[in-house]
Amino acid sequence: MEDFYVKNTNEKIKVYLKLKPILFPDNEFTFEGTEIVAEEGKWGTETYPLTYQDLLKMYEAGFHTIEKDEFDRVEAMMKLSSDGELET
Amino acid sequence: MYIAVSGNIGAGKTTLVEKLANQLGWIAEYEAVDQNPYLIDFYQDMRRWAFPLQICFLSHRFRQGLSLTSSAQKMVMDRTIYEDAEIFARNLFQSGYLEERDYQNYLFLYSTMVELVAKPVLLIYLKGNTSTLMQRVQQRNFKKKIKKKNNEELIPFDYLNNLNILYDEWIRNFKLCPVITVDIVRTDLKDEENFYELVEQINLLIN
Repeated sequence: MEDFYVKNTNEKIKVYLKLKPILFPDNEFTFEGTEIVAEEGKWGTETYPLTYQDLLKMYEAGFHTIEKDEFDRVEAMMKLSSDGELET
Repeated sequence: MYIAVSGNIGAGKTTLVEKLANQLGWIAEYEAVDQNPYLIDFYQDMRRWAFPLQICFLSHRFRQGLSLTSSAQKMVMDRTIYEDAEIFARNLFQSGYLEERDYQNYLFLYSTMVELVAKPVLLIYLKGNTSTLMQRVQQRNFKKKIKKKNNEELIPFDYLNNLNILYDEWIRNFKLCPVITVDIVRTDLKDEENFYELVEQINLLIN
């Protein structure tokens, strides 16, 4: 199964997620999510595991699919941003 | 027989279902789907997978509806098969993720299924304006703190607003059973007095 990419944006915050399937999950977490957040001109990124229930909530919350290119562009912008405040 | 509790994300359905079930001594019935095998594919290509995803949600709701139909137990249900079709599938259609023919096909199947499912004896609609719902979703996430960024806090205002418009339209045309509309902006159901007033109304309508 391939990685996939989603986003959800509102007036204040833009969130992009790369979702990587965990091939051999040993608990309820089946994806590793790499999140990039743009909020009030600042960037943040973090990685955390997601469950099927998280995906269901994302569906209800209106997350939608984007192409890998869009995620890559955002990731590059974040890395290039001299004002970026990265959370690792 | 069952009472349905309906309303948008953040309206407080699950809390009310739990409280009502406890108060009435009925069984609380929650989401029908444990696993939807299309969900991951849906995120990879929404237009390609929106239809099977919705069919899968619908079939699980239908199965749940049939079990309600045949059950002798009294239940309080969190969301209904109607909302699956009239709110979420419709929103996907209006957003361009479901094709017209797929949506019509879905509606045809839905209308056939829904005939076979027991109607609720009463529907409680938790109505809120979009700003209040947004606030509630954010508060809920603050309380949860499951992870730093919970998905629901990211719900865009416009998205929630679109769902709210669909909800209002749906409930205006809903004639299958009596409806109690609770304006969650004016009526805080955490307040015991308001809650027991609602319980009284329910008892009057179902007995």
